[in-house]
Amino acid sequence: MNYIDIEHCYKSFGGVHALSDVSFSLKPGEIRGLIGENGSGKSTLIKILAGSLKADSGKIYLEGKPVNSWGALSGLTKGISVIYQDLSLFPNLTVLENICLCDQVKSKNFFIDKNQYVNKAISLIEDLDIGVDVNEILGELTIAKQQLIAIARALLIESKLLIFDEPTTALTREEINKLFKLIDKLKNNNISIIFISHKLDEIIEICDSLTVLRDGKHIATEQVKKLSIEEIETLMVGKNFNYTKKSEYNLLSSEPVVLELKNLTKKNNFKDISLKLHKGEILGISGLLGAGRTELASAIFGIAPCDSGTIKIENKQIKIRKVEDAVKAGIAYVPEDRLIQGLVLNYPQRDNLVAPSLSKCINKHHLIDEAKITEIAKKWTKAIGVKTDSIHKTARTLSGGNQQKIVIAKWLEMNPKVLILDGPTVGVDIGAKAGIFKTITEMVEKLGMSVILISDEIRELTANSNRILIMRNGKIAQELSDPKDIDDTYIQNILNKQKRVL
Amino acid sequence: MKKQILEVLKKREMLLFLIIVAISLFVQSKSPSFLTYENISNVLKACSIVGIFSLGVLIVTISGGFDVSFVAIAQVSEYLVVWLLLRHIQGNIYIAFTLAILVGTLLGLFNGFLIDHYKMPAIIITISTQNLFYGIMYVITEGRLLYEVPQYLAPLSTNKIFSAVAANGAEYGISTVTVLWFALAIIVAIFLRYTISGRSIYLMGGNSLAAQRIGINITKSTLMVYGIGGAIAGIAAIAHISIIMTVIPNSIVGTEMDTIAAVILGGASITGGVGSVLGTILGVILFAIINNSLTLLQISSSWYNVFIGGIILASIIINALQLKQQSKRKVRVKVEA
Repeated sequence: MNYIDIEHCYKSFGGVHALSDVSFSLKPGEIRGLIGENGSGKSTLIKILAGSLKADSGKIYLEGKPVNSWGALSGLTKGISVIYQDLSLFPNLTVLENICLCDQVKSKNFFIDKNQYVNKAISLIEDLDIGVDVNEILGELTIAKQQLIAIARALLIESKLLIFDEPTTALTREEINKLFKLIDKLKNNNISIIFISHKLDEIIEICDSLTVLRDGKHIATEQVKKLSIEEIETLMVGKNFNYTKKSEYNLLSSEPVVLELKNLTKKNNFKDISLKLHKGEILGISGLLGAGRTELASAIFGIAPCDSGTIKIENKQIKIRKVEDAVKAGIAYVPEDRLIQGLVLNYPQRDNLVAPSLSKCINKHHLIDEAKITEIAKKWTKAIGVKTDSIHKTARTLSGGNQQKIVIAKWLEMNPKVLILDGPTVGVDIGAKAGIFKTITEMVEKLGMSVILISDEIRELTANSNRILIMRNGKIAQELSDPKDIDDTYIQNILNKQKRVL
Repeated sequence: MKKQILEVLKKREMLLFLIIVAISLFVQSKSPSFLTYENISNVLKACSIVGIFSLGVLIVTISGGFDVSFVAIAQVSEYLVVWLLLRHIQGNIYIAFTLAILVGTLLGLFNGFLIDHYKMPAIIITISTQNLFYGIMYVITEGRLLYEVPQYLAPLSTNKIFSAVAANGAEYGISTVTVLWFALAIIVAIFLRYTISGRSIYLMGGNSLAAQRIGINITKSTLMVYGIGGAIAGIAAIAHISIIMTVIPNSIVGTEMDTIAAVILGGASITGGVGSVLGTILGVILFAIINNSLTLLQISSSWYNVFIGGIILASIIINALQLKQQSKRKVRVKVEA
């Protein structure tokens, strides 16, 4: 018998169908991957499962019995817990309180009774091998440990279905291994799992079966074994999707060196990083999460400066102690978390785009020249094809791919010598990814700038880079400059080997 | 064991306690009348009103909210209650408290309703209601003072426990106003620590979305928090009347920031989720001791603000440095040797 069945579920928001005629069922102990592009209806389905949204129509059965009441709490009381991407824990409270307060709030007692939970919490922490004291303050733990606490909280209330919403985004590979082992253990205890992730290789690694949603419709539910990554992507996008590989990998060793790093070191971040970046080159950097890629980028851009080592721009040694130094030297950085670090969402697109180059938009009275700002913004939105009905609307109104283009355009206007892109397609729909890379390669050719491309997606790297560096434990482990080495399976094998060693 | 001692030393309450001891010893060495029972009980009485106010402010601050209207609420309660007791209701001190708590709660709930319903920053809402409450009262009363106050309100501040007689024949001891403050503090501490409603305030202040997701009704909790804040302001109103035995429409307006500063110094986080009753009490006492020391050391009271500002700034800098140290030690990447 299935643990949960949803039949012919519909949900719309103000006339827009978020879900239409979606049916979904899950066996006890089954690990189901739930995938789809942004806006495909994944989160709506999750909210309906968790009880925080009510479907417009459709039937829900739990262990064969129809469920009628779906209020804000009913998911929890019926054994369905969501491990949210933001974890939804309380950083200001202790581990014990985080684990037990959910159950206490449910109990509707007047006084709190934490003591009855102490033993249970300690044994859960041991079971999950978290290695924390119940009295530690949650906010002082690593994200991976916090996530395990969220799982412990769900197990305390004896959940039968755990929904993981993008659980691996903030974890290192070592931590992901541990999480996957734990998920397997939960499976053996007959707990059902729904696993949502953008990373298809993880879905294939951990899930038994997968469900693909597109535009609020159920597209397919299949055994994972039967599908390849390419087939899954086709199901998600609805058409064949391929990166167009760069035709030539000329090594450009004759081109002048733009950026040179020598023995760059920062304690607890990376060690002895030396590299040369040529003019017009796209240098890919790969490696597992926690290999020190983002940390290296932050150091080059002056966000968290390095402890020792030298940085040369066009053969001139410079010191980068703060972001201003890097910008002056002609370095631009598009961070992984563009929403936090790259965009002011409530600010018009136009003003976001011109923010770093505002000093160019000064009229003869030393005041800001609005017309000039509009002119620059129009130039770029046209040049890189931002789809927008008005650049005067806020950045929030754009889709993820177009937001990313605004961030990139913002730095292109500065005419940088070196552009560092950290995960430029994270959270961007597959369809929009190709457009972003088209823009970047065009700009490299047109402006003669150099790019450092940091990414988890190997195909993205192999399709666009002239050379690829693989980082591991804060060091450069391997440099691939031979065109025949810049190959998806070759690199995937190297990384898989690293995964197993951890 | 050593680790536990270090943990205790790191706590804000301990830091405040040590500062208080250090200042006390210093002032005592200059002015022997400082650490006497008479002076201590006077200092405690003088800061009782701020102390009571601070408990309400603490609850609101922990919830992630902000309130600057509590003094205006107290002022309105004072005027309304005394007017009612003089003209319309035969009363006693219990009826006075009941009325004041009622008025305070209603005005607090009004704040809570606006903040929850319109989802606007609490600081803006309470600045407007502060002006509104105070303004309406001033328009209606035309700023008239009430010199006549029911006599049964006086004993609350004049009664003393553990009283002793000074050389000049005057009686001194811990005022019942101070007892009221500490009793209320114990109740608030139990509420915050041992009840589910009280603990929900920490949940709400720590992560409001997560609180909602485990089934806490944010609307109800917001109303409760501001309602309690108002009720405590009402209690402070009666205590204040009892001390000055006159109702002056603008006598305490302007003291909001002193109270908020004491709560923040006591370790409550302005972003919510953190704060303790003990820390708040120590914060209030620290400010009171500084004020008193300046008098005893015959330093111009103009220095008071300089000291207060300096202490708050220093405490913020210490916090920031601690955070910076923590992030420096954090291992981001396990670098191989």
